[in-house]
This record gives sequence, C-alpha cells and structure tokens, in this order.
Amino acid sequence: MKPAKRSLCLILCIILSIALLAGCGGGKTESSPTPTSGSESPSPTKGISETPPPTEEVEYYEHLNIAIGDKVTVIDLFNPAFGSSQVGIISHAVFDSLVDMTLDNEIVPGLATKWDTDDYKTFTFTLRENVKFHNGEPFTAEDVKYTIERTKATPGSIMASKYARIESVEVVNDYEVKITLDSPNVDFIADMSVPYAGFANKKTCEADPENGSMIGTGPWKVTEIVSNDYVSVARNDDYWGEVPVTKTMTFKFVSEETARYIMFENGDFDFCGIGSVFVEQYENDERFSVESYVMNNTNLIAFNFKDPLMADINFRMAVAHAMNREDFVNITLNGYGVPAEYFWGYRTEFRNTNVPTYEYNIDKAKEYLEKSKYNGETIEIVAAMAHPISNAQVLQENLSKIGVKTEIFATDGPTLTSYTPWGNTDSQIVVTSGPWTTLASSVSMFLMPGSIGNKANYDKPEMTELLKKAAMTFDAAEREKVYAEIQEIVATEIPYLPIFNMELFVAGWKGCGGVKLYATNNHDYAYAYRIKQ
Amino acid sequence: MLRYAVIRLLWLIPILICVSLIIFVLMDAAPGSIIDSMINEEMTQEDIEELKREYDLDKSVFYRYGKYMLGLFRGNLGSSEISGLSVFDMYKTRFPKTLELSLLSLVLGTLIAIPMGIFAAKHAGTIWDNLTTAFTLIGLSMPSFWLGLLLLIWFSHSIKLFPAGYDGTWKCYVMPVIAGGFSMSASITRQTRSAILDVVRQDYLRTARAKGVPEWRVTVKHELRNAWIPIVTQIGMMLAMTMAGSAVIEAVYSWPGVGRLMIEAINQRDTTLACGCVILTATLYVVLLLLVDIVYAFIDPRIRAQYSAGRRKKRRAEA
Repeated sequence: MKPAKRSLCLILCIILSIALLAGCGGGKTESSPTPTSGSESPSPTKGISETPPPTEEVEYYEHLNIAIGDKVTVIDLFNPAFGSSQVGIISHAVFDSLVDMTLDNEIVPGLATKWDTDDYKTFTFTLRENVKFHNGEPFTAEDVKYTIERTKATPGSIMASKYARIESVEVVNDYEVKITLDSPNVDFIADMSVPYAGFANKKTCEADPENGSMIGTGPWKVTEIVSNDYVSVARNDDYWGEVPVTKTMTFKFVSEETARYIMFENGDFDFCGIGSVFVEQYENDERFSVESYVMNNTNLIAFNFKDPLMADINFRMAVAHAMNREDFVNITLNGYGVPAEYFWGYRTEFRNTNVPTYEYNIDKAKEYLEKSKYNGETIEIVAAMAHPISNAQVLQENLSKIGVKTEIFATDGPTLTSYTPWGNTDSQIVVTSGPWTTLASSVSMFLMPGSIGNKANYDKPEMTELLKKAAMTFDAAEREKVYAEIQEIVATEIPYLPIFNMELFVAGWKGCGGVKLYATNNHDYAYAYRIKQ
Repeated sequence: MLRYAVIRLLWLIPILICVSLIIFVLMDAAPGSIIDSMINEEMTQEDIEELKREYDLDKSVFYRYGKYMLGLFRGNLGSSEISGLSVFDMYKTRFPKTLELSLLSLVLGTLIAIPMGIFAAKHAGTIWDNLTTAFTLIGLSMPSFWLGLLLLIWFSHSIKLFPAGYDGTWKCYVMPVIAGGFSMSASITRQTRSAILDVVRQDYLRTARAKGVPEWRVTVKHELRNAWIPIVTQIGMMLAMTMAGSAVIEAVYSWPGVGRLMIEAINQRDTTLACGCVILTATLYVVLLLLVDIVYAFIDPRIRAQYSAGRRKKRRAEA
C-alpha cells in the first residue's frame, strides 16, 4: 500500500472510531438518588405548584404550548378511541362532569349543584342553570339523558362500562335528572366525577354527527384537531365557572423524546413531561421549574392462574422472594420510583398495610421453588411498552438467580391484549401496570372474572362475592373491612406481585403554574398559565 | 408511447388488488386488532365481542376485504376505523408536507450527488475517488434517525439555528431536508459514478475531444447524457421511496406527513387507513416510475426512436 493511501486509511479509521465513540457516549454519569422504601409515603418535588396564583397585577402569556406524551386520535365521548392515555388532559379542558373530585379525593359540585340518594340506587341531580355548550346551546337534563343513553348503546366508549349499570335516566325537568341503577352502588357519585364523564349536546350531535360530540361545556373549546398530532383550544369566555387567564392553548404530541426536549428548551413548549434521566438537568437549570408526582398505578406482575404451575402457591412464593424491587427501581426508573410492597394503589382509599409482604430473600425463594411443581421448564414473561419490558428483563435476571428459566415476549399494547385474553392457559407471567384510581372499587378490574385488566385470570367465587358486597355496603367503616379482607386475600394468594410506583415529572418554564397533577395521570391544564418574567 | 402509458396504468388495477389483499391479510395476521388498541381495562370480554361484531372482526378477512373492495370500486377509500375521518382527506392533508420534504431532499441530494459522482468517476482510483466512496459509504450506512438526531442536537439545541419540529416556517425544512438529502445523495453519487465510468472510455468521447470540444462540454453533452438513464432511474426510485413516506425522518422532526400517518395506522391496527394509504402510495409509486420511463424517451433519442419505429411499423401494417 502506498504511504498516501495508508495515511488516508488511518485518518478514516480515526474519524470513524471517534464517531463511534461519540455515538456510544452517554454524557456524564451520576449516581441515582436513593429510592425511598415502600412503606414511606412518596414526597413529590414541588416546583410548578409554587408559582403564585393568577392576579391582575401581572401579565400572562396569551398562548401556551403543552407537549403531551401520547397522541390524541379523536375527541368524541362516544368513540372508543377517545380512551387514550391523554383523555384526562383533554377532558379536563373541554368537558365538565356532574361532580368533580379534588386532589384530596373530595367530591365537589360540577355541572350538578346538588345530588341526593337514599338507597345508592336512585340518584337525583339538580343541574346548574345558565350553563351553555361551546356553541351557545343550553345544557339541560335532556343532554344528560342523551349522553348516558348513547354511551350505553356504544360498546367500548370510555364511560360505557360505568354507565352499563344505569337502568334508567328520567328527566324530571330541565334542571333535574333522576338516574336509577340496576343495583345499589356506593361509588356511583365518585364514578361520575372522572373528567371524561362529560356531556354532549343532543341537538348539536344530531345536527352534526361528525363534530357535534367534541362540543362540551368546559372552560376550553376545541378550535382544531389534527388526529395524532395536535389539539388547539380557545378559552370559553361564557364558561359558568372561573375563566382561565390564558386565551389559547395547543396540546402537541411529539413522539421523539429528544426532539420534544429540544423543542421545550428552545421555548416551543411551555410545559413538557420529562424522563427521569433529565430531571437533575432541569432542576439545576434556573429557567425551569420541575414538579414530580408519584403514579398511583402500581407496576406489577400477574401469574396466569389457569396454568397449573402458576397456580402453585409455592412457585409464586418463590418468585415473590426472588424479586429485588430495588433493582427494578434503579434499572427501569433510574432510581426515581418507590418500591411497592402492596398491590393496592398507594392513594387508593381503604389501603390496608397490615397484610403479608415478601422480602427479597434468595434462600427462601430457592426453598419454595424446591417445594413447587417447577421442573426446569421455560416460563414466558409477556410485556408491552418500555417500562414493563425493562421490568421483564430485571425479573428474568432475578429469577435466573434461583434457577428459573424464562423467555421474554416483548410486544406492543394491542398485541399484549390479544395475546393474553381472558381464559388463556399458557404458562405466563404478565408484566403490566395497574389502572388504579383512587376508588377502592377499581380493584374489580384486576379480580373480576372476564375483566380485561384481570391478567391473572383470577376467578374465585368468594372474591367475586366480596367485590359485589363492597359495592353495596353503604357504611364506610364496613366497606373498609371488606376491602381489607380483599387485600388480605390478594396478599396471601399472590395473583399479583407489586413492583413499584413510578415517579414522573412535568417541567415548565419559570412562571408557569396552575397545573393540577393527579396521581392517576389525568392532569388538569385547564387553568395553566405562564407569567411574563 | 401513449399506448405504453395506458397499459402501464391499467396494470395498476391488478397491482392495487394484490397490494390491498396483502395488506389486509398481513394486518389480520398481525397479533392484536383495532379493538385491542381501543381497549380500556374496565371492559369485559362481552364488550370486546360486541365491538368485534361492530367492526366485522367476527367475520373472515376475505369478507372484510370484499366489503372494502366494493367501496373501493365505487371510488371510496373508506373512513379511518379509529377516528372516523375520511382516509382520502387524511392522506390529502398530509401528502403536501411529504411531497415538499421529498422534492426538497431530492433537489439537495441531486445537486450534491451528480457533480460528486462525475468528479469521482473522472478521478477514478485517486484519493478523491476514495474520499467520495467513503462519503457514499457513510451516507448509505448511517441510519437517517441518527443523522436526524445529530442535526437536532447541533443545529437546534446547541446553536439554536433551526426549530426542532415542524412549525410551518422555511427554517423547519432545513434539517429534515439535509437528513433526507444526505442518504439520497449517497446512493445517487454511487450510481452517477458507476454510470459515468461505463461511458468514459467510449470512442465518441475520444472523437469529441480530438475535435477540440471543451472538456466541460464533453462531460455534460456526451458523458452525462449517455449515462443519464441509470441516474434518472435511481432518482425516480429515491423520489418514489421518500414520497412513500420517510417515516423515520418524519418521526424525528414531528413532520405531519404520510409516513407517520401510515406508521400510526399500523400501530393502531387501523386496517382501512393503512390499506388506503398503501393504495394511494402504490398508485403514486407506479405513476412516478411511469414518468421516469417517459423521461427516458426525452433523454435518450434511441428510446424515442424505438417508440417512433413502433408507431411507423403499426401504420405500415394498417396500410
């Protein structure tokens, strides 16, 4: 080889090596913060909430751009696709419920000023007068009846399962409506407080079937929606409640995380959800405020009870003792999370911490495995999306220490649902996260036979009876006892094993405020604002 | 020529039938369905069964395909199963953005690639040729998302010259066009170099030089003109491919184009939307390749002569 060519080769090799090393570099590495233990209450970081509330003396930005972590495909109370993860954010802005739930789980008036029930079966709501839809149509009891009946007739729509138990809706007069359930339900009022329990106008929906159902009564009206891209809203100046100080907002979905952060830092967004890797960077940057919240959803694993090995308590005990939750928090969440000892959502009512928990103990795990039916077969761990897939990898590593062979089937959400249907008999452990609300009744999703959330295929008549009993027990103290028993059974039988509660972060530019961050992830940006600095 | 174009366009019908059938069967074979992408954990198995009936998922894929094709023959591409919006309208909204991005990338890629390819061919075997080869290798092997991210970090984050996402201004075009144009230029450069090398030792070039024709004229009028066919083919293919949706670049730059629309449709198992997008894209692909074939006739007089000869032969036979 000629010297010139040799030199050229050498130069190219050096350039390529540098490029390769640059690509592999991950910036500076710092140790993760020590996670709090599972028994401690999570204490989120405060930032955005410390911004002073709106006053007349200061000047606000008229328009806000908010980056959202998932797409909004459609805004339509009757379309099943409305139930994406961003449904809460949009619903808080566009729709109003009959009642609202505060961050402290207190039920307060919404579109209804008063509600009565004697038997938790028939509920009479007195509606607020002079409430108008975004197109100027008055809100009346007829709209309540129309929305509930149409939702019931539309399988898959977001409130369909909650309204399924409504037997009849009777319009007493324009501002009074009587709702009768098929059986008593103590949680009905709380069920009606979710942000997406909004109402559509009958006249508008009939006149404009395509766009009529995105016209609500909320503080913001939709001005433009580009499916899976962005939603623009304008302030509803005729809103019956407090009118926001901001005039217009755009919620934009940016799928690429790096692009989202760069856009946020460049000022294209006022608010942006951030990943744990970037928390310190934003917390140390004076331009931004960071607020954290701990998700009520418990990430967990589910054992398929229809499989003889998974149904063996000794095998489940072995897994329970083999799981090191610190590993899950440190690896999956970069240290930002709370190891969960209890299956129950940490902010869910009637939480019982007086139930068995399982510490990380390899020797115990091996003992239980010895006693179990496990014969060296390979167990399938099924997971969808980034965090559960990472959890599946940690679980695989944890289980390998006690000699359990596993293989991971990593997939996407729709595939997971079809791959793990109710009644399947595969030898599976499903890694998932629970859709806990603050209501204890949300436990039904995990334990009721036939429920999509029941990934353990758990089907015990005594449990089903207890769940039904809890819904019909009017006395709160009695109800607490029932739920305590349910938690006791779950902790003993272990259809589910909790992993952690995630700590998530929302960052805003200094001066941003007014956001209500809910542990259920249904954040409320309806009164978001940014003070001009 | 006209007959050829009509025949090519008629071939579109079986192509579209095959393409749509393949998409339908693949979407059906993929695990999960549109119902699974709508599910919330409170639903029961009965709710799902009811939804399946509503979306005809309880029937065979061929029944649904037949129903879809009936609509298609009436000129109706259907509505998105998720949003209920017209597939054609959704495509129509997104397509101009993809077209702009593709054309600009192509212009940039071609402006870089053709001079570079000619230069490399003229200096074949020298260090300049090796450098060009290195450039094409990097361009072809560098994933476009990686280049896209690097550009984002340098130009948007570090020096804040361009916006990181689509905002409608001219500035937002710069980075995606560079990211798209770079890999395009690499493959066109390679093609240009090889095509020029094929003609560079031809006798007519020696004759032209011997006649004293200036070198630039030899290159442009004689070399390039005779090497155009493979280059134009490559350009046409690259344009068709990017128009089919540069999903990766569109995802990195939040570009509201066709590529993202198709990926979202597939992720959400929205068969009608995915199928509609593929049909429109396949049509576009075929039309573009037809245009490339037509352009051949304008570039190369020999091909034009073949068409003319065919016409004369036909006339004689008729006479």
